[in-house]
Amino acid sequence: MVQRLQNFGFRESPYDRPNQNWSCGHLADGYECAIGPDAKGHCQAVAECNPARRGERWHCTRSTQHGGRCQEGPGPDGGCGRPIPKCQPVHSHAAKRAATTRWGVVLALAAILLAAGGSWGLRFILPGDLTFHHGDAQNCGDCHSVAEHGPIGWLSAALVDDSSIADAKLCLDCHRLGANALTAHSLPPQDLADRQANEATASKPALLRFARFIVRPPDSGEAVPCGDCHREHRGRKFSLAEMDDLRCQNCHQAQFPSFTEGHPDLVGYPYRRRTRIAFDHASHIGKHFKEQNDIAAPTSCTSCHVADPGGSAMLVKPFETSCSGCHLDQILGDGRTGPKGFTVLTLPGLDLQTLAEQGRTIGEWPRFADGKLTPLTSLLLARDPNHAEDLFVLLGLDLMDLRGATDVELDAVERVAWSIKTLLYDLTMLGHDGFRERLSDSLNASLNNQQIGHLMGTMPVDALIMLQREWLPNLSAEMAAHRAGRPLPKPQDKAEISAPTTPGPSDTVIDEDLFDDGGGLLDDGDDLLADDDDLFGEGDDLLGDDNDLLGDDESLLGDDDDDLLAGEDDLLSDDDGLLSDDGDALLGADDLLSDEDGMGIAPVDAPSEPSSSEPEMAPVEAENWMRAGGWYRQNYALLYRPIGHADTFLRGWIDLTAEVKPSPGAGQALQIFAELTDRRAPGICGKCHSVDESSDGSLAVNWGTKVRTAEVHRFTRYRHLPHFSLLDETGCLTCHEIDYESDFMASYRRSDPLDFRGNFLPMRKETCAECHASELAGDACTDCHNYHIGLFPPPLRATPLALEAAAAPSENDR
Amino acid sequence: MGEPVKAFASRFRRNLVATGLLACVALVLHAALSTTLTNEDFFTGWLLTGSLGVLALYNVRRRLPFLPLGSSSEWLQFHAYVGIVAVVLFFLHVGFTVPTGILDLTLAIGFTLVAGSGIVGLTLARRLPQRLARRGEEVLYDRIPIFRHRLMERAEILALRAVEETGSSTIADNYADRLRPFFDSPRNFIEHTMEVTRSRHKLLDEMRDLERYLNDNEKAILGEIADLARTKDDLDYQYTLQTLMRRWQFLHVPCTYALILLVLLHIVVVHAFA
Repeated sequence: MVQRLQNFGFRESPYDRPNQNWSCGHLADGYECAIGPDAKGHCQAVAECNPARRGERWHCTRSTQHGGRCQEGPGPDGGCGRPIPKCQPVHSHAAKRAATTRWGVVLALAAILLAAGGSWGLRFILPGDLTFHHGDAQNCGDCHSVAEHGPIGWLSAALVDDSSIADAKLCLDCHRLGANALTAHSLPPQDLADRQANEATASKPALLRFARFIVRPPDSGEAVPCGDCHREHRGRKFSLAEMDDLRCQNCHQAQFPSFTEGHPDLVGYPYRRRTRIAFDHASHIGKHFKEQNDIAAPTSCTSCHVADPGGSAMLVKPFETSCSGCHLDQILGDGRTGPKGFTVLTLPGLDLQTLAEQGRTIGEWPRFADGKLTPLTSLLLARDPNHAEDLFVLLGLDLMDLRGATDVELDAVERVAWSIKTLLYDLTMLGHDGFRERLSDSLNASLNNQQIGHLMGTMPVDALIMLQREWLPNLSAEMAAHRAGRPLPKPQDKAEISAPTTPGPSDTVIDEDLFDDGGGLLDDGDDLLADDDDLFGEGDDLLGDDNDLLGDDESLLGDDDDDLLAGEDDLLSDDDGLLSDDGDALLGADDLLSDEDGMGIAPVDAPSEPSSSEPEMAPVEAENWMRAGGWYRQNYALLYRPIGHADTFLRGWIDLTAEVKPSPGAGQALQIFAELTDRRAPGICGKCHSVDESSDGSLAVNWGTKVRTAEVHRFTRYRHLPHFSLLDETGCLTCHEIDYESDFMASYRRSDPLDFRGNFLPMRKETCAECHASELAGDACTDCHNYHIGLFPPPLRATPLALEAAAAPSENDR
Repeated sequence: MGEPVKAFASRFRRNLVATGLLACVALVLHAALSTTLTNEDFFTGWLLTGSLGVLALYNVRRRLPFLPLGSSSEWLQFHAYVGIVAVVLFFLHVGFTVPTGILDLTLAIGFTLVAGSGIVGLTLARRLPQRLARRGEEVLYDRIPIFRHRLMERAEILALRAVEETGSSTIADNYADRLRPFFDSPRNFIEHTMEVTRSRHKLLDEMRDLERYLNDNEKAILGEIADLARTKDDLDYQYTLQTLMRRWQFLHVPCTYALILLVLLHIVVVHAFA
């Protein structure tokens, strides 16, 4: 039987102090001294007891625990007879634990100090790998505004500053999300506030209700830092765009559990506006395609539609493929009643007799002109200060009967007549520059060469010259006299002949004709065929005597056979020559300088004088002669017939007049726009190309179908391609069900593209939900919806061209 | 005896339910915040930091035993249950993934060490006292070397006495060869931890085998030495278990302080760079 190891009586057991840091070094040997080490770990032991003196004797004081009084007892000097060998005190258990703790803290502090200094420190605090999209970020400062501020700056930022917005702006250095990048959906706050929530069809999830109770969602105008949704440093494969469905709905008014349960119905989707091209699927499919016998009418949706290369949108095939079979002839004007071309310029009919009686001097003016001032002519006159007032005065006045007109009205008529002449003269003399100057002044617009080219319909200069010579042949002289304040030249008698059935120079009230003595083309003055220094003069001129184009010797008009004006076979000879009277000559009846339409202009309806020989067949009218399109004259009017689809002349004028600034010609521009976009106008642009009016009142013609680009981010996105394989024989009609009851085309009589009733029935949510459930194709919000809405160009950095390096010779070159 | 067990079970159930409720509240709040634009990681992070602070208070309480702040036992229970909630918060905070950043991974490892050592310590504190009570004499841990040395001294005395009384050195030789190393230092740490007694039985069997060479007087002395060997083995058992009950704190406490420092750095970094 072994006795107990430990007794707990105060006499049997010493008082242990385990919290002290040092223990006696003899403890491990099985005995410890009663004194123990001091607080600093120094052995204090000397002897087993400290003898006490009682009277004259010393007594041992060793405790009972350590054996009681020793046999030897103290020495005579009071010293203990049992000395204790010195020990090396050891750490107590508590001290060892404290030391370990201190080392742990020191290691942690060392790690923190490493983190606080140097680039390695930044790697130490890096919370995780970036996504591979951002994997090329070189340092933390690329995305974190405080990174460069150092540890003190971090502490300040953590305690005081909120760097989230500043950091978000760094994101926007690359991700261009527009002016409202940080507001909800990157939309202007008011835009978002104006939107109406569609009704959810199920109750709100309890979790969302609770979340809204504990955290207020941001206001519509409140900035939302990028990091609120896009959490970085979660690994290379982490999807930054991934978003929990409930989190998506946190700010929304309509909240619901899932797409199949509670998502609002697809109100009107995907038809947010009428189509840009006015095309009635119902009437075409239900009627027109059935009536086509001679043209291969479309037989399926893919006859006219094709998926874009990305498979997202269904595009409309080009006009030439889809529409031209039936509509090209309509554009060219075939079968059209009325003018087939657009009237550009007219000489208005005037009551010349009354004007003469009233002493109004307007010079020559075609007696049989009976047109009206066109808006386009008026636009080109609009820069004249008095023009607007004159138009107002002449409002309601019959210009063909001025017998009852007042002096003010006659003054206005006279000014308008001279304005028109000035216009014609300026255009003739100054060409495109004169046209540009007038148009720019009238519309307060700056026009480039390409625009001018389109607006003039590539009109040849000769067309205008011939027009002037035919309508107002003495214009040059008249304008010179009018501007100098001199009396106008007297008209020639031959102009008094009665007008032919077809308008021409002969029906003009002429002061000076093309061949008279005035400033005409072939007169005696300083003109083309004058005697002196002129084309037919005697000097060194085209028709001079010596060595000249029309000279006597070896010249163009020499007597020899081989000369230009020789008797036979020469350019100006009587037979087949340039100035011959025959039909094929330069100055013949139907020639370059003839009285009729020449120089590339359509032939006149009938010659002014009957030719010596009757043509084998009557020429077609100018309008029909220009069946393929171009410029032609008709009844003192200059007209333009569309060349085909996408005619640059018509499109140029429509685009120009669609957006007019306040200007003298703004009213006329609106008139032109209205005329050209009328669905019955020449070219019938307005029949298919709808006109939208924006909120600021500006008009825009939709020349094409909707253009989708990667830069445009809409609330809802959809890719057609992945869905094709799911369709049965119903095909596209599975989703796009034609609404035969809808008067779709009626909406194009209005200018608001959003005010319409669709050509198709709205899609039904149930159609989508057949596949888009959580257990099937997925029903996450981000499957169909974008968060950032707007036009966001890709972050393309400007690449500076190393011009200097390229110019410098390389080492090899040297 | 039955009443305290019932009271413990009742208290355990009550505390466990309270802890479960706290964890559920944290889960619901986390789920709700996950549906907002507020970063739920900040919520769980601050809750976790608060939990660490509360847990660290237990050590402060131990250093201030004189203050009337409840018993150490109650504090230990509170410490344990808050620790369980902290583990739940930790998993919510890291999103049930392993962090990849160096600091974050260090934090996660640190927390795992602290929580793991805490759980081990709690388990040891619940299990080992029963084992200690079942075997050997309960002694003060700091005095075990003294008792071990006394046992060795007594065994040596017996071995010498056997030589003196019988003139045979059989027991003395056996003591010098086999028993002296056994009495000299703690032995069989792993076996005692695992509650294995193979070495103990082997030693005693060897002594029993020796009896055939001994006379009655020697057998009596050998029997006393065998008793001392059993006592020494029980003392080693006590030493082993008490060492276990103390040594886990060598991981738990230092890691806790290191973790608190790293957490402070983590808080500064995430708020500065958030």
